[in-house]
Amino acid sequence: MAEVTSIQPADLRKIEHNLSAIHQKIQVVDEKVEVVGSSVSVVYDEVESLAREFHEFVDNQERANRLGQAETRLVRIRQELEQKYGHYDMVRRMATGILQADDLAIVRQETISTMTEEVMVSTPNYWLAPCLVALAAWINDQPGMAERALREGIRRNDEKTSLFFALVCRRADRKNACLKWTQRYLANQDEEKLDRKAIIIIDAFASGLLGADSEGMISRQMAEWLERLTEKPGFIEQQTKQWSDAINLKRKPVDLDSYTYLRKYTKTWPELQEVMEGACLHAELLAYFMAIFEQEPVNKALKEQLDEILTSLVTDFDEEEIPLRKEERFEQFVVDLKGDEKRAKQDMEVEQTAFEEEKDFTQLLTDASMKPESSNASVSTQKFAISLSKEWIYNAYQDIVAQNRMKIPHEIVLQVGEFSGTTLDGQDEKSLLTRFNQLIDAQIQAAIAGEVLTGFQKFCLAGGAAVALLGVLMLFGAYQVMGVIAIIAGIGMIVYYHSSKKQVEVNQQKIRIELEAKRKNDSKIIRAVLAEVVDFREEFARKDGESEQVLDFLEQLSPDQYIRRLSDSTRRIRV
Amino acid sequence: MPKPMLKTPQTATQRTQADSLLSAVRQERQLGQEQQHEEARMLEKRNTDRLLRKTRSKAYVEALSKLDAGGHVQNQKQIEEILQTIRQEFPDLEVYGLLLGVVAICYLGEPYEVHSLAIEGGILEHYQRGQALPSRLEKARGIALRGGYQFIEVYSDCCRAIGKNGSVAVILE
Repeated sequence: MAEVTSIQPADLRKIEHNLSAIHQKIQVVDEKVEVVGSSVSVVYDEVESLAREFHEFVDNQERANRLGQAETRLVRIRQELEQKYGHYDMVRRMATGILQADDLAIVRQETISTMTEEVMVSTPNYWLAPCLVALAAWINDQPGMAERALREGIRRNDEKTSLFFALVCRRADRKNACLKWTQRYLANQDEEKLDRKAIIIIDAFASGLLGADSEGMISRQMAEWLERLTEKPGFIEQQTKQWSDAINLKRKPVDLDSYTYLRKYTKTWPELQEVMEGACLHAELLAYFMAIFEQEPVNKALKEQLDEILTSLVTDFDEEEIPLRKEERFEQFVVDLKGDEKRAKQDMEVEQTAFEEEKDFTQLLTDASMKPESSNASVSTQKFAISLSKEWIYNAYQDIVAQNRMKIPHEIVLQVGEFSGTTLDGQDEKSLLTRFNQLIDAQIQAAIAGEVLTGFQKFCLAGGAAVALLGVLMLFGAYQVMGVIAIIAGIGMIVYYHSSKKQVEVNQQKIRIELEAKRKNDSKIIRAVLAEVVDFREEFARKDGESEQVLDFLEQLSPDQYIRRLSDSTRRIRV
Repeated sequence: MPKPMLKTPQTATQRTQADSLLSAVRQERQLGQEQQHEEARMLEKRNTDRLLRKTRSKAYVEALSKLDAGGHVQNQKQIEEILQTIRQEFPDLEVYGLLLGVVAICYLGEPYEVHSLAIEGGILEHYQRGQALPSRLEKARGIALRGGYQFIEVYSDCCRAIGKNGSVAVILE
């Protein structure tokens, strides 16, 4: 018994001291863990950034290599083109030269004859050479020679020869001959396999260059083509797809950097970005159509326009050159896109249809409307092609608009820290903040609930008082020394209780301050996200509404409007 | 005796050959028939698509735009009239097998969001926010709410959004 009474007070002090020390050490460890945590986060960010930079570096290097390769290949391809088809250029230049020289009458007829005969000898199998001989013979009034050369020209390429002389005759204002040649040219056409040259006839037709007789014939021909094509099963689906693809080419990435909060705090951002890009297409498309239709009517004289068409016929590359021209175009894409082969392939694929040797009439209209650069279509042809195709464009465009609207997220999902909520139009700030505040309140409650006195700490108040009281009683008895010790121990326990209580209160206060700061900060973020949702919905509605202008614009178009009537024509074209 | 015995297997072989030839021809015919059947089906579908692409009449658009005119409950007679209008709109089609239903924005006010008319059974219902439409019609909810169209026709393979002027936009799945 004596051993027990002497050990007990000493154990209490030791436990008290150790507890206090452990508590302090845990606090220190906790602080250090926090520091390490934040350091790890910094390291993680830096590693991520390094990885990103590394990938960028590799991509850049690959692109730089590919760029160098593309530049070298371009030089090789162009040399090959020059070597294989360079002499065609000479013939092409000569064709234009002869036509101009004949107009100006400043070159002797013998010179023209000699030169064309030389060309005939030096470029075997090229259709333009006998045509030039025939032209020279025609100028020199040598019908026998002209006929022989024409027969050879027709044998080499009936279509091109017919077209060439149709245009030459038109230029010389020999309408009957022009009509015969044009008839011959059109008789050679299959509406499902039209080649690039057909666009020249459409060019002339749309510009009113083929004269009155040919207008009737060509429009009838086109009407027949369309009728036959329309009767084909699946034609409408094919047209809609063709036009959808062509319209979607005008879609571009948009800069949405201003939506900083929406981008960061909504899970719905990718969908929002996609639909906004889709909505921006409307303004792009309208601007594209307006730019075509607002272009000044061509004021050049008919002769000059004919020259342009003739130039296009005699200067454009021929079928046999196409494989090399394709290669050249692809490498040029790679150079233009700074070595990005993937994008070059995509662009090439898109443009591929324009390179196709054969296409149907409606594809030709699509290319003329949407890819004028690669299909060599003039503005008047573009106008005509768009007008003629307006019904299909209208359908395809309506579908594109609806498909984009189908993707509009009805609810936008917010994620701010642990808080997750949805909003329709950003107008539900009150309810969202109420829910958010409830979450923070619950977090405070939970955190405070974990920060309370331990059982021993609670016991120290009553226990200390009891020990001190016992010590006071002992002072009046025989154990005065023990009494003093008991009083000191009791006071110690009470002091420990109060210091622990104070510490708990400090910790609770700290939690409250931290979570209140979080409440304030995250509330601001939620408000900012909601404000951006409002802005986004407004901007989207505005941009999406622009589709109506495109539809109105298309509705007002009429093919008749864009076929210029010649003064001697009394008929209107109905297609 | 040996003759018939020798002859019998010969006949059997010939029969087998003939059978296999017959079955190959039969198979070929069957394949040809299947192909023809598939082509006919495709042709029919394209014709149907072409007919369904046509601009809707004013009467049709008006009738289907008034699905919430009678409040929460619409009497069966009115629904019958609407269904009749739908039948009249597509005289060359058996539209009931194709059109699953119509979904449109609901103007009854909070908490109603959209309403749908299921063609099968002619059931008109109004739906609140968060309340799911029948599974086959749910896909049209978003565009009915946000697309700005008068209503959305729902088909098994696509939706057709109908504008105020009866214009038709096809949304393939």
